[in-house]
Parts: sequence; C-alpha cells; structure tokens
Amino acid sequence: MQEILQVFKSYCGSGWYPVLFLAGLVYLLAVEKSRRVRIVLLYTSLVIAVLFFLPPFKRIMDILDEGTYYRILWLLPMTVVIAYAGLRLAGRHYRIGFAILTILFVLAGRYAYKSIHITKAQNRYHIPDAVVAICNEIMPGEDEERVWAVFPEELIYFVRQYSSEIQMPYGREMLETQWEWNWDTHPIYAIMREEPIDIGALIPLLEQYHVQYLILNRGIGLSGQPEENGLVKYASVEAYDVYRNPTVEIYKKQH
Amino acid sequence: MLQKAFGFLFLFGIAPVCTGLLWVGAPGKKRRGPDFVYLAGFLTQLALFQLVAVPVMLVNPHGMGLLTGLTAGLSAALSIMGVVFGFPALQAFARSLAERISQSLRKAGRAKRRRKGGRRRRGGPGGIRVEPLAAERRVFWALALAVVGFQMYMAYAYASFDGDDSYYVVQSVLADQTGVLNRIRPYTGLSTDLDVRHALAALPLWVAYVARITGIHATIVAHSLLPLVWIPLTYLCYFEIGRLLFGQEGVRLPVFVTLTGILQIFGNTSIYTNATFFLTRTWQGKSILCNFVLLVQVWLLLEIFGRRKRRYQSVYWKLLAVNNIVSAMMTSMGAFLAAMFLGIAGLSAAVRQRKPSCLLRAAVCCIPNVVYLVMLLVMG
Repeated sequence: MQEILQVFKSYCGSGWYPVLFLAGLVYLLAVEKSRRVRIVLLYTSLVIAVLFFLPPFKRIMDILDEGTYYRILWLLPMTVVIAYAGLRLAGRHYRIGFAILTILFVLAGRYAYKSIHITKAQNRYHIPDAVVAICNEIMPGEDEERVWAVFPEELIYFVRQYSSEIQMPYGREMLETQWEWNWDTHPIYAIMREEPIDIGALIPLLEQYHVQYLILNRGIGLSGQPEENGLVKYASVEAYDVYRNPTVEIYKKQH
Repeated sequence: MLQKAFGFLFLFGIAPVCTGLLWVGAPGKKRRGPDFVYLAGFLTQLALFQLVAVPVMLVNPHGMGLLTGLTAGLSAALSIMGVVFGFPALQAFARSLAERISQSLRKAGRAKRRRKGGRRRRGGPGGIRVEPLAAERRVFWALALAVVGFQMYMAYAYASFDGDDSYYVVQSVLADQTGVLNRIRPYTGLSTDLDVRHALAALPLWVAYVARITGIHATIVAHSLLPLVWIPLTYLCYFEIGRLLFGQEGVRLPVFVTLTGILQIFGNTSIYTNATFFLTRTWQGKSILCNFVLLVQVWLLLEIFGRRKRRYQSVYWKLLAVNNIVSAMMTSMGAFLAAMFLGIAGLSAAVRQRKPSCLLRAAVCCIPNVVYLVMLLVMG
C-alpha cells in the first residue's frame, strides 16, 4: 500500500489537480442526473480509482509492465471532470465561475513551460545547432560508408535524431543511471565521463572500436593533447573541437 | 515545397476528410458534422496504418518503401470510397455551407443598406443588433482559440528535451533514411533483432511515413509538425465532449474548452501527468495515448450512452473498435489500458442499465486489443 501511495504522491507532484478531481467526482456523484455522465465519467472513474489503490491490482500490473503503475491514473478523465464539475457548480454564474476556476487552476497547478528542459528552439529539428553543424562536418560522402564518432555526453541524445549516417559506439544507455544493466559499461565512456579526459588512454580504444571522429568540449579539461597523440583537428564548432582519427579510414561503399 | 504542401494536404486534409465520409452514411439523423467526419477519418487512417505496418514490419525488415506505398495506396482507395459512398453527405455539407454563406452575405447586405439609409438601431455598431449572448460566445470562443493557439505556438517555437526521443524519434529517422524497420539499434546504429515489445506500437513508423510522404525530415515532423496536428485534434475531442455535456449553442461550451486548455497549461505538477506528456512530449505515443486516444474513448462512450436506440449507437461502437486498434499503435501498454477503460465503462453501463449487451459490445470492440496483446505475449 505504501508503494501505491508513493506512486500517487509522485503523480500529484507539486499540484492539487488530483484532489480537485476527487472533489469534483464526489460533487458530481451527489448532483449529476445524466445517465451517460454518471456511467462514463463517474462510475468508471470511481472503479479505476478504487482499483488503483488495491495492492493485488498493482501486483498484476507489475507483472505486465513494472515501473509504469502511474499510467493507470491516465485512465481517469481528470481534465474533463474538473472542468465540468466546476462549471456545473457555477451554474448560471459561469462568468464569475470561469474567473474563479481560472485562478484556482493556476494556483493549484504548475506552469508547463516553466521547466529547465524547455528552451527556445534553435532550429525546426528542436536539437542544438551545434549538433547539426558538427554532424554536417563529419557526414560521410555519398560513396562512403557510415562513420563512427564519439561525442561529449551532452550531445549524445541528439546526434542520431539528426542523421542515421553517424554511428556511436555507445549512446543514451550509458547516461541513464537507473538502467543498471547498461550504465557505465563502455570503456570509451568510462574515460569520456571523467575530467580531465585521458587522451592517451582513449586513443587505442578509438582504434579498437573503429572510431573515425572524436568531438571534445573545449570546456572539459584534457590530460594530454589530442594532436600529440595522433589526432588531427578537423573543425571547430561553437564550444566543440572535432578531431579526425587518421588510424581508422573512412570506408568506401561497395557497389 | 510542393511535395511538402501536397503531402501535408493529403495526410491531414484530404485523406481523413474523405475517409471520414465513410462513417456518415450510417443510419440515423443525429448530427454528424465536419468535426465528426474529420475525427472518424483520422482515426480510420491511423488504424489502417497500424494494420498495414505490423505485418510488413514482421515480414520485411527493409520494408519502409513497401509500407509507404501500401499505406498511401490504401489511404487513397479509402478516400475514393469515402467520396463515392459519402457523396450524398458531401452534397448536403456543400448545400449547408452555401446556405450559410448566402445567409451571411444577405445579412451583410442588409446591414450595409441600413448604414446607407442612416437607420440606426440600439444595441450594436452600424445598426446591427448584436445579441449579447452571441457576442459573449464569440469572446469565449476567441479565448478558447487563443489558449489552443498559444500551446501550438509554444510547441513549435520551444524545444522540449526528453531522453526517450533518442529511441522513438531515432526509430523514425532510421526508418525514413535507411528504409529499415526496427532492426537497427537507435542509440548506436548497430544491427539488432526486432524488439517486439516496442516495435508492435507502430507510431514511430507512422512518423517516418509522414516524413516520406511530405519529404520533411522525420525529426522535424515529430518535433515541429505533429504537435500542430495533435494539439488541435485533442481540443477537437474536448469540443465533442463539451458539446455533449453542455450542448452546441450555449456559452458554456467555449468556457469548458478554455478551462480544459488552462488545466493543460498548468497541469505540469509532476513528470507523470497527462498534461506534462501533452505539452512536453506531444509527439510520443504515450502522450497521444493518454491525451487523445483515451479522450476519444470518453467522447464515443458519452455518445453511446446518451442514445437509447441501438441503431444510433452502432456507428460509435464501431469507431471504438477502430480507436482500440489505434491505441495499440501508440505504446505497448496502450491496448491494455484502452481495453481496461472500455471494459470498466461497459461493466458500469451493464450494471446501471441492467443491459448485459453493453458489456458484450464492449468485449467485441476489444477484440483488436486481445489480438494485439496475444501477439505481444507470444512474440515478445
């Protein structure tokens, strides 16, 4: 039961909308006469809400898909019930009701666009311009095979959203700490995530994994200079330096 | 540019509207306007894609070309069928539109003549008497449109980071750029076996299909184009629900739609809420499931249980079955969640109305979900 309450608390987060929903549900159960509203919005919601708080139901859901129990709460038509109950309560005074409900919703909720993850789009891909520019620099020619590149971790999420022509020896699976079965297992990433980055230790791994390009963030310290270790500076894009690893050739397509 | 414009027009205009006409010929004189036609057509087109994509993906690993050709061909065929079978409905729409335009023109002409004649009436500029209720209704509709427009602008102009994009959006990019269906690891680019659990939900392939038809990069389709489709479509569902709750003509319908919009904008109370998914991960299957597919269920069930005669209900039951196919397209748990909601609603109705047939009909609508879940269990 504790686990279920924790899931519910996590779902509610910093807002009061689920509480408003429950209040709306109780109010409508008391006053609503419409048969269809009672069946679709009230009884169905009530059954789902009760099921959600039943531990045996959670055990069954965990067998089907562990870690996604909060999705049962998606089945509750919260937005519809809250808005409908509010307007029904306001009755003929819908203008003042609208004003009060708007203030209530603003105060009880949290602005969706106030998030560190939402930023002004730099392009229509909605990925950083630096990724687009770097990928364009290292993009293989039409007669060339796909290339392998190692990116700093802040760019890893975006590279392959831009082009399938650029491959990486590791990807997002290294960055998600909760994915214990994958996390932190790639030898190149083990070096790339440290500061300073040990270039001397990195070079043989680049060759071993057939990596043609290395992209480094200029703001991250290095132990050893890339040029002194055989890498060739290929381009500079915003805060990043792009190096070519000449020990691995770019293969031509075989027709 | 031409391909982008025509592709977009076909996918989000011609195909859904014409396919939607297939649903209008059903018996009953209850209102089925352009909003119903569009939603029904859009759902049918999505269901068609899921039905084509799953077998093509299982049989042909390099099948993106085949999938695009087959889906486009069948979409076009359905659209033509819609125009042929829905021709009377199309004529009725055209007549009603012409009538409304001529009415507006007559009204404008009368107002002009009054202004010229210098006659002025109390209650509005230029001698036109504006009903207070109609004016208020317009203000609230403008507010509702502004709330929806704001969300569309934010979805286009602002980028929302989500780690799952490096899986789902990349699957779309891979299908579009390489033609390979779910056999490449999105994170790295290495080859892999089919990950059935994710692959049976074909939404990333649909994004690739949109990219192929429009000639737009799949990531732009996902992040910039599709939110401009999903957001208004979701509010169209809220409109349908509001219409059933408050009636078509009153002021409370636009007030309801505006309030739902405000609830979405301020619904980011945690990373798990429907509203958070709706506005920050609009293009992902999970978001479409909890904000569109499940909302369509609420709309259709409200339609069904508001009608006493069975023959008026049948078209909505059929659409529910189509919507259930769409639910499987969105996420691996989609079919289960949609079936669960429908099952509980069917059971509630059966008990409340003492009609076991409601539960039976709900069960029949869930056949696509059962088939999908069996596939998931057997192949997963």
